[in-house]
Amino acid sequence: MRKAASSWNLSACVLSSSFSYNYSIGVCHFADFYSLIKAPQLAPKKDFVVVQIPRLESQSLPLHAILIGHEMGHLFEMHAQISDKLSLPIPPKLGIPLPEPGAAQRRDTFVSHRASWIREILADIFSVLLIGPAAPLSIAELAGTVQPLDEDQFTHPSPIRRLSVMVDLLRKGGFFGVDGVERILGETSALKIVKPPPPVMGEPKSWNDYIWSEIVSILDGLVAECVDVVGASAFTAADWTSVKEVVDALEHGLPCGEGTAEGGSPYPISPAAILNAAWTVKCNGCVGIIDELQLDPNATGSLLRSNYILDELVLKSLEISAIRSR
Amino acid sequence: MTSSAIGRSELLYRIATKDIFISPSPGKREVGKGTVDLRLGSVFLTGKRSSVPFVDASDPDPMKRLFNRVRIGSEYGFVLQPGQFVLASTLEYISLPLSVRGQIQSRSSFGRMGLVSAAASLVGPGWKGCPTLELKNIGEVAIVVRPGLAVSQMQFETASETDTRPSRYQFSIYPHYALQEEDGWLKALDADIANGGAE
Repeated sequence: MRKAASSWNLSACVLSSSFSYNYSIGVCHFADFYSLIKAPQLAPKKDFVVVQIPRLESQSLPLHAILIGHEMGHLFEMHAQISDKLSLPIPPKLGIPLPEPGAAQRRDTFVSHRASWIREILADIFSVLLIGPAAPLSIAELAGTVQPLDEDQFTHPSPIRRLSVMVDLLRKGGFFGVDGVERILGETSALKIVKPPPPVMGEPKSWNDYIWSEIVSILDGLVAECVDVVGASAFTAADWTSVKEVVDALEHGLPCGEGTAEGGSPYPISPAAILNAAWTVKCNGCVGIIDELQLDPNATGSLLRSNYILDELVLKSLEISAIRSR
Repeated sequence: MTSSAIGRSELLYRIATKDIFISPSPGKREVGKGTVDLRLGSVFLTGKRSSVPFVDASDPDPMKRLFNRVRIGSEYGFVLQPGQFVLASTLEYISLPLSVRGQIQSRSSFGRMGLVSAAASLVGPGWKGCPTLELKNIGEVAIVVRPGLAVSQMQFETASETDTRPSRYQFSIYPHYALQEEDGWLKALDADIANGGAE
């Protein structure tokens, strides 16, 4: 977050939960905050980040990969202003009627629709670069819960479109050659039907398809820009070694926030490695934790209990990692 | 059943090899003569005034309504008033092998301030989690405690007999109020009294 939003007051980051089933991240301008709380002594002097999570998922730590990946991706995108720099034709000539009412409004609607989709895809690209396989796994779980996988929205492309970009990026990043990754991605039902983004062929049948074909045609350029912005913070296929080391700890009911160097000194495990390890354990059905708890592996309650324990272990791991990073 | 205290060098070896798992791992300075210092976590369960008139020790279910959960950052302190009782947990996550048990004690420096941090202090073989600490200020003045403060210590000893049944408090990373298992003895006694007892 420090890299993505260096000019903001990150010590005043606000985390809240809401009844709406949505993750979001945004900026609160200190002037607005000042006018709301009417207490100048409390008003931060810099803009600050407001993070919101669905209340239902407040304890579901592996799902919070969405915060560290996709929502953090929005911060990177806002700062790098990648979507603002794009110049695409407005509006394109196409034999599909634009939405009502007037021409100017129709154009604005189209531009806003396209800009929103591009921002979401950029955040998805950043999420894969920042946290690797945990990004599509968490998006698949959340999106698969709240909407049909092939349903486009005005603000977001359908989960299938988004996941196709993310999985393709993982493939190009060499993750599918790493032991274990393809298996956990393959075991996620939402990801089983994902195909690579199709090339632009023929005239699209809807505005959604048209915008999507535009995005696919500029995708490589977008990815290249994101790679430049993330730089050395990227989670690469080579980093999966650290994931394999900590999966074993979680499976045995132990937190995995620190490793031990050869000389015996402890070092922090990255949040990305912890979240990927958590997803690996989750995709394996938490069998190790169920065994540790001596629960019946066939009982529904066992999976609920083991997922709860996994959440707690991930939370503790992230806390230990933060302590070791100081 | 025989047992013997584990000395410092063996303790250091067992911690280094993760036979005794403690995370964040303690530095050598935090390992004493057979003991390891334990730090306070950031979550506290504090008593609150409520409509619950009392807690029946044989059925502590209302306990959850008697506590507020608060999280304190390390830059802030938690003020423990004279006589106040709160539940906290250790910052350290501990996992013991089946051949070792632990005993949590208050550290003497804090005991001399009037801060007692462990009442139910036995941690059984095979236990995993952040043990709950029962903090009580038995002094005359308020005491400020902060997350990260090493208020307790754990002493380790070998256990020759093992019990592999998981504890109901296992795997918790936050303090936990009392949970009670169904007690067959109480039911039997109730039934006996209802039938006129042993007259």
